Amino acid sequence: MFCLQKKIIEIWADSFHEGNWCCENISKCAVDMGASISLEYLNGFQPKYVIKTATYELSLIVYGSYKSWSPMPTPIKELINWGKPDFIAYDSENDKILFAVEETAATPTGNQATQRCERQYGSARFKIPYWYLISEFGVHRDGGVRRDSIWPTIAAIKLSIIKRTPCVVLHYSDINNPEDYSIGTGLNLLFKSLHKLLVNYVQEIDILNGMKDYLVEQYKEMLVFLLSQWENVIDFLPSEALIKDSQNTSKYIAEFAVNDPSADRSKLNGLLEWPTIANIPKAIRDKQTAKPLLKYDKLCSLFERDLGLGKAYSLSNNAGSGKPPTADKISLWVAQQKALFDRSPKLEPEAVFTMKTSDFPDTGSNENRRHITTAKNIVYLYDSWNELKTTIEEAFPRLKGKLVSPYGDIPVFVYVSNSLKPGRLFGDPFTGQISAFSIAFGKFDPAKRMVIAYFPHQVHTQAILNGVVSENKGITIMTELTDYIIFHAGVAVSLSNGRVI
Amino acid sequence: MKKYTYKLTEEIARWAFEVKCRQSADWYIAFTNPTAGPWKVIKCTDREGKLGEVYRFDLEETRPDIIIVNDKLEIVIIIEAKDSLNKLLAGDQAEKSVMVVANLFKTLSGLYKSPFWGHRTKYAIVTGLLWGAKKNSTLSDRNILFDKYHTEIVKYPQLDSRIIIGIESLKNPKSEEICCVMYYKSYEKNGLETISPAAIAHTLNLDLKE
Repeated sequence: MFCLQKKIIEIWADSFHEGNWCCENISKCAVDMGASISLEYLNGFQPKYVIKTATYELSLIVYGSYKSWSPMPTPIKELINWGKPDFIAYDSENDKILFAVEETAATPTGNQATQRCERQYGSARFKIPYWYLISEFGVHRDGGVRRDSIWPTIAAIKLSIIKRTPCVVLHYSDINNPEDYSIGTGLNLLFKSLHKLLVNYVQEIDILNGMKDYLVEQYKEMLVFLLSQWENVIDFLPSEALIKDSQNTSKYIAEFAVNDPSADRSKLNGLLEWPTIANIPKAIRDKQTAKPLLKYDKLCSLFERDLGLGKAYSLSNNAGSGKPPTADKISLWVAQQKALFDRSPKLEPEAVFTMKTSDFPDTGSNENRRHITTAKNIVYLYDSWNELKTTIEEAFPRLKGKLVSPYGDIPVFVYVSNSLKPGRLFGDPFTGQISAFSIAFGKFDPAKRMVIAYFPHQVHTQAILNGVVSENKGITIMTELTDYIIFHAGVAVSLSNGRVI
Repeated sequence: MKKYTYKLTEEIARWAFEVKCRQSADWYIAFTNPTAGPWKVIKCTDREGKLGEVYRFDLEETRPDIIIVNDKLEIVIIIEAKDSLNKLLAGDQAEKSVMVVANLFKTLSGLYKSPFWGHRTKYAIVTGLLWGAKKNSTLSDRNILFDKYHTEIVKYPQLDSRIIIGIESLKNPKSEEICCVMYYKSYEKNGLETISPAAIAHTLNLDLKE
């Protein structure tokens, strides 16, 4: 006897608009495939879309504003601890998340470009198919048009392979129609995929069944984007030949994303893996020289020195610094950080707070603004942990013999943030930035890199105080993705074991 | 399907009203201010019905919560929303909210050349207040609220001070259903009102109470 297959899927979302927008677009795809749609509002406000065909009936009910609902399903609670995607499809019957999506109306620029990448990592971590829909071209505050960053795309490709789960960045708009959802392929590709995935689910077949072709197209677009944009961002992109062969490479990545047992890592050897110094192009190697700092910091100056000594390399000198703050704001910041520092139990050897307003040089703008940028680089790729450790110990002798690598003498990715923003240390956009960069620069590569973050203008008690590790999204991310965080005065923190050194 | 309960947040109170606007053939939501998404610009249709961008808020610019437009009644309502009536009354909220309306009035009035707004520059721009509630507000509470906002509105002579609209998103504690009710206070002379709250309520399919 014929039995109509029925499922109710909950669409949990940051806001009702986003949840409803998801349902509207999935419904459009369903209508194109011959389905009929009905819409009612439960309790007078909760959209319930019913998509009906001859063989199945799929109901989508929106739960907008995650934290308004109780009890929040455990898988959703766990996922949003890693950052809140804009919407999540959840089956309460099987307590299972089917997909998560982040979308943004504007093209983020500068630090903001990687702002949402912690969500990407969170979903991949739980092997949840994830899409990030973003405008390829956006209008900046200055009225100019900006193009999207390469980092979310790089991190997504790598996560798809590492976690064997779809992790996709899709673009919409074009240079003449910035931020226009209706231009480009992104919107259509996204909702075709989500619709397919839901139809699979309601028909009780593997949700990724038949998704490979969809994903090949999407990864191909990502590779094409990367190829056309990387030179605007960095000096050197590894594995360019593989990226140029987008036809085959997209197929191999998609095989990993759908967890195809025949997926073959050897076909993607070295894909987006930044090599050791000996293996970067000579022209790039020759370009590595120590550059002067805007604001002096001993460790940053040694990082720069190490570029010139061939111990590390960087990828660009384009780190944006935003509008320099006024001296008054810096003084306030220094006082706040001092107060936080003084709450720390005494460390052995002693750490001494030395930050003062006069450390920050005047920009010469006649507005009493001060530079907070140290080096213009925020990324350093060292070949050797031992060499980096020696450099750190040279800057901060109190750390001599205290830092250890659980992985032996492996390469290291060093991330620097000069931020002076309260609460930002473990918030946006740095949490997303460190997620994207950790993944891009090898945290999970076959030839793994350690991850060290350096915050010269922040103090350690914001992370750990009296043995208690703070709880927030940023701490969760950094606990998993960093090996050490080094704070002002050379206080090192290992979040994974709660140690302050 | 699991049974969940919900907290009546500003987002839910506001969305419940937006559902009413979406269900109305006469009202269009030109702007809403959720946490994210493709909604951070004011959009409206031109005379041919083509949708386009009217105004893009700066990142730091203060925004209202909802802007709705009715071309038949030639009315724009700029709404400030909170999860409770008390929050609309708290501190300097009235002053801040009315300043947002005044700033936006100035911006919109200057858009007479915009194909997507120009023909609306002569519309009445009315201040609206929206709040969530678990029990009906009292006439006295509403009078205090409306009068406080009216005191601020009259400080800006260019603003329309004839009427203030209130929307109460009332959650039934037993059924969990939200019912939106429209209130108003007219500051025009009795019998000489030029803005019809009944027409607004009727086109939004809302119960109307003074």
